[in-house]
Amino acid sequence: MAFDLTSDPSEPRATTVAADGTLPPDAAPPAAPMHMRRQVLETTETRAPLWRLPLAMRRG
Amino acid sequence: MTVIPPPRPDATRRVRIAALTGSFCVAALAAGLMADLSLASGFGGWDAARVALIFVTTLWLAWGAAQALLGIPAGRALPTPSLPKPTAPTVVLVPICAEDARAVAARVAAMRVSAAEAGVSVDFAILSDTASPDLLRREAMAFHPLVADRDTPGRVFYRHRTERYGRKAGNIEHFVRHSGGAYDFAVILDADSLMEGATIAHLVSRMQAAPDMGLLQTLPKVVGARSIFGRAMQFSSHFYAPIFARGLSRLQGRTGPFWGHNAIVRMQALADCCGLPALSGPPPFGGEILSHDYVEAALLARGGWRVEMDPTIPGSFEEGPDDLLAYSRRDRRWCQGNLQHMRLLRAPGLRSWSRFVFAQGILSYLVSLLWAGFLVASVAAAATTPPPDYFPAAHQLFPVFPDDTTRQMVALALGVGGLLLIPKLTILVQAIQTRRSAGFGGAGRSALSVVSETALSTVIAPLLLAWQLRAVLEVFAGRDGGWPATDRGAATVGFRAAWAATGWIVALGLAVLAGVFWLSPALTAWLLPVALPMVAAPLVVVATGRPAPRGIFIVAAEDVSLPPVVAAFRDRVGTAPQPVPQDPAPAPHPGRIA
Repeated sequence: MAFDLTSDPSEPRATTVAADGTLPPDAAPPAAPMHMRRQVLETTETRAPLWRLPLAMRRG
Repeated sequence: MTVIPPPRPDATRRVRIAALTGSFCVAALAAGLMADLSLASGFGGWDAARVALIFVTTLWLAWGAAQALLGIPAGRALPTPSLPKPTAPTVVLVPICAEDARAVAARVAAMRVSAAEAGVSVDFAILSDTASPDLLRREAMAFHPLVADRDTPGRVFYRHRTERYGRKAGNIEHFVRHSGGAYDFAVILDADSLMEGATIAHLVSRMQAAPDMGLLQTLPKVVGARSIFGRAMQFSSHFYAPIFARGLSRLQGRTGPFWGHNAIVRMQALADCCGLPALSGPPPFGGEILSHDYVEAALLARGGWRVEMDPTIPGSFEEGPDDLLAYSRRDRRWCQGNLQHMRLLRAPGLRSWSRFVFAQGILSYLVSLLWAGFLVASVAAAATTPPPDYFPAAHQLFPVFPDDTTRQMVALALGVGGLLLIPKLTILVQAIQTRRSAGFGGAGRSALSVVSETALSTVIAPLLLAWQLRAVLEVFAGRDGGWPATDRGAATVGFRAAWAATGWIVALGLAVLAGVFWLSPALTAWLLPVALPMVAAPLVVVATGRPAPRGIFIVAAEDVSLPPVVAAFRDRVGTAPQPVPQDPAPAPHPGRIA
């Protein structure tokens, strides 16, 4: 993926927790981790005017 | 396996070109009439401004009308593909934050039973971002029976996030990171969403049948409205919205919308494409992306996935704001979210239609600024026009009267009014012809509802203009509106609350009237339809928040036969949902990428 940042600094630190001890121990969703790619929406690489963006992106 | 093909790109392109060309032609016609009107009394700087402003504002109205007219033809009936049995592992996500837990539990229970009856086994995950310990206790009590119930097919899970980064999008992202691998698809709902089990089954089948489909959006219909304002919005969502949505769907093709809820998404596509960064800089333009759904739709399309909306899928519901104050608070958030998309117009790799959709959302709020500018320019142009000179030449025997511009003025007023009315009237005629009006109390009741809704829209339009104007100015001034909790099931609005929220609109209306009367008394009568509702703003808010009379704004789903899942929800919840106290602000996003 061209827009993937693999070194993602925002992997969640919080673990999945239930509200308190009143819920069953298996109340939380199953643990089945999936990597979520952090997207790039701002870039300094693209300096072309808006109407030339598609061409500039193809070159990039 | 049956594979559903995507919309043909050439057909989508033709529809877009036709809609844009038609809208530009109508806007050019309006600007021409305005220029003609101005030339009669000398063409000054203010005239140039209002010609430019009428062009843009009419373009906006014509674009809206084009969407409705595009949705009028039913289109060719395609053979219904035989869909595969819904077997893929699917989870229904219900993100909540300081909601009425009892009502949420009743909705989940109703949908779970409905899904089991439809023969589809799905899990439900209630994803809480609530911070208040008191509300968390209520959630644990409300959701315990659902979590503990192992007899009904499909599990109900509940989890609470301790670090609330990214708001709703972050809440979903947290689930994907921890549990996304267990499911192929996720049906994303709002706390007030309801979906029939058969609809969930249909969505899963559709995703199985289209391996390149990233997201399929349904058209949720509003249910549960009680007030005049709420019932009018509910009527609009059942009567007009399917036609507008069909037009929108034809325009968007495979680069469709995501409205944040009542949609199914492919988990792998979501994980690959929708990890949203926080934008550089502080809010309102930087920080977390508020209107994340449009961005996620654009990112899925950037990743090569089909994003489609199908307004014909039944059994998808939501609740809406029941009074003007709740509506304006939600609109403030949407305003900031859409204006924030200015930062994303040049985001790399987006499809041009996605950029167009961002621009359209931005313009939908900027247009209030342009309407206000048009009113100011019109008053200024009238005030600065020199009085007519009936005897311009010396020793002139007969007076020279200025050109009569009444015809152009009437044509312009009718044209602008027509752009607002023609879509509604065309939809009414189509509903009567196709007997769709039977679901709205028949032809007569449908017509009465359309006339009433149009009258109500006319009265509240100046208030919405004022709120939007303030919201746009606030955002440009750097004021972050945040994400206030949604008022669900709130009581009717009292005069004191209405006055507190609209006193400034009253003052603005009086100032407009006084200013126009002083500068150009002849224009005062023309401005009364705008100024009077502003002066009466608190009364308008209170009156439209009152319970709606019976026999008007009838919709079948509410007044004839309740959809089974809505009926099951109401049976379970028993009484109206109670408003809940406010929750503290969430934590900032930990992973800002500049």
